[in-house]
Formats: sequence, C-alpha cells, structure tokens
Amino acid sequence: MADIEAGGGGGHKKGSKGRKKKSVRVDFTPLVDLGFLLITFFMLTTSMTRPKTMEIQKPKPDPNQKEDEKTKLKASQAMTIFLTKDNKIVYYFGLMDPNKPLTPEVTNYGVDGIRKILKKANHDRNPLVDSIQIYKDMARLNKMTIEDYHKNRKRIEDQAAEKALVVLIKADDTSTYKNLVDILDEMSITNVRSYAIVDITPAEVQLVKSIIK
Amino acid sequence: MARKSTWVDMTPFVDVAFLLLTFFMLVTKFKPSEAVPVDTPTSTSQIALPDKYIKMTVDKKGRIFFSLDGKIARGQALDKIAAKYTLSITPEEKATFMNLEQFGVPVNQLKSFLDMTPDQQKDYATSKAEGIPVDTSKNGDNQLYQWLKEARLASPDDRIAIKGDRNANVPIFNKIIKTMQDQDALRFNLITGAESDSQQ
Repeated sequence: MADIEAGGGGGHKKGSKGRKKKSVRVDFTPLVDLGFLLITFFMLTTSMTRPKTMEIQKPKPDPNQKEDEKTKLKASQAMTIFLTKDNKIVYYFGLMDPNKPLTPEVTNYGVDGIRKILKKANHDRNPLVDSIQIYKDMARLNKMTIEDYHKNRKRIEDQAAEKALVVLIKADDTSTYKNLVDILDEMSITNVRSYAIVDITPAEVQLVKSIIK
Repeated sequence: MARKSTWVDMTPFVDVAFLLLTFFMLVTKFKPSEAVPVDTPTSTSQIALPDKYIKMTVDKKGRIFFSLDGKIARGQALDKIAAKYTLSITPEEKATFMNLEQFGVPVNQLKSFLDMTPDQQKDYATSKAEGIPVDTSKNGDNQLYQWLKEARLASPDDRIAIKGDRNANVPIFNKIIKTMQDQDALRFNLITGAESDSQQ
C-alpha cells in the first residue's frame, strides 16, 4: 500500500539486537480515492468550453426614412438569400425588377452549397478578396496583429468598394434559428463585406413558396 | 515460508490525482443553471463570451427566458417592474427572485411563481411556463421590452446576449431584435457553440 515510512533516523543501535524499529506508515489510498472523487465532481459540474458568440450590430432604425431611400443598392451588387424550411436556401442575384424576371435558385447550407456560390460571387466582383483569407489565417496564427489584418482587409475591400457584394438575408417563418446562425457564419467565412438581415415581405414569401413546393 | 507482501506505492498516484484536480478547477467554469434545455447552434466564431451579460434564452418552443447577472441588479429590476405593473412583492419574494438565475413567466404570474418552492419552480419552467410575452405590435404590452429596459438600467455595462435553440423558429428572434432596436440596443451577441471544422 501507499505509505510513508517514518523511520526516525539512525542512532538507535544501542538497543538490544532483537528489538526492531517500528515504522510509521501512512496509508495514502483513501487520499487517492478522495482526489478522484473530486475530479469526477468537477468534470461533471463544470464546463470546459466557454461558449462562443457572434457579435451583431444592427443599424439604428430611422422611422423618417422613406421607402425609396432605402434601396440605393445597385442591382449588380445585390444578392438576396431566403432561408426557408427543410434547411433550404433560395437565392437570386440582382434586385426585383418588373422588366427583367429573376432567376431564383435553390441550394443548401454547407461547403458545396451556399459557400461555393458566395465565394464565387465575391471573387467575380473583386478577385483580391481571396487573399483576405490568407491574412485571416495569419492573424489567427498570431503572425499578424488584428489591427494589421483589419487594415489589410479594408485596403483590399476598398479597391472595389462600389462593386462589392451586398447580401440581403431574409428568413421566412419556417426557417430555424440554426439556419440564421449558419448563414451569418457563412458570411464571415466567405468574407462578405456587407450583409444585412432584412424582414421578408409577403410577396417574397409567395415567391419562395412557388419555388419550394 | 512467509509470503512477501506486495507494497504498491500510491504516493505518485495521489500527486497525479491532485494535479488533475487542480487542472480541472482552474480550466473549467461552473455550468450556469438553466431552466430549460437549449441546444445552441454552432459557429466558427472565435469571440469568447464576456463575463457579465443580460441573457435572453429562447427554447425550442419559442418561449423566452430572461436572466440578469448580479443579485442587486435583479432586485432593482424587480422593484421597477413591480412598480410599473403595480405588483406587491413581499421581501421574501424579492429574495427568491434575487436568487433566481432565470425566469420566464408573464408579470401577472410572477408573484405566484415566486411563492413556489424551488422544485415546483423547476417543474413549472420545464412544462407550464409561457415565457416572457413579447408583443411588438404598436400598443401591445411588450413585457420583454420592460424587463430589458430595467435590466439595462440596473447594469448598464452588460452586453446583451441571445441564446437560442437551433430548432426555434426565426420570427421570435425578429421580435426580440425589434424589441432591442426599439430601445437602441443595437449591439448584441448570439451565443453559439464552437465548431471544430472551422475553415474551408
């Protein structure tokens, strides 16, 4: 067993031959039990990972703003993403225009779905955007300060600011919160410069319904 | 012949056990008690949650639960709400409220909720609780708005965080966001779990 032998040192030679020095042994086994009991307790009651968060900054709503002032967006910049049921995404490029019919398409979340489309759309408008990822990785690996990363990112984005992709995210009543978080996540993964969560209009709900049966 | 006993020295084992214990004590954090189970979605975001925050939890049924850090802040918020809705809260009920991590009852049920025993409260939260009403129509009684307003007054430095269940529907979040926008709370955090396949 686990013990400490407390011999009491030397200097006991005087005594008779037969007399043995009695060692004091402390059994450590219960202490091991106690230690592991406490470990188990801490493992069960505490959480290791601190939850992560996404920071959202909404614009200040301006009730005096007129409806036509809101849409200064160029059709070439705009991309609208509808989040709908069964983890599906309906998206189209451009703006609603009576003269030009839209070509909405259906895709899904994930690497080969919306991410590919967003990456391509971003790349087509500003090929330099691809290098943001390199800066991002460098910042993550501490090879670059966060300030430098933001400076570089801004420099790249400013080169084609008037062409840059603007994504409008519209979630209908059948989509889930996971869909919303996923799409916001895709925005940060694909380095989309500007995106907004916008309320869906009844006409758009009908549009999505007509595409997803 | 006397059998030789096998002594296994346990001392290093004790060392290991306590080393691990120290590690767990330092690295982990106590799980906050949750009234309802919430399965958060994952994201690749690396931003850690601040230590103190006002939290609105949405469970999968779309019920809203509210939590505010700090007992004094909770007490202040309760006093204001009680005054606004003309509730007579006894000191005992206030004490119960100050110890409450999370609550999700309409104001008119708050008093009876606070009179329950902790076990009953737990039961109530999982089954019957309606969540805090959020009515964003023009003249509606938006109780979440009032709670949020008082919570922000009681602890002005706290960030606002929304913790939602992955299967909750989006409209309730739009309502919460609108409630926040109505009182110029425009910066907020969405609590998510960490995702392992972060890039590509």
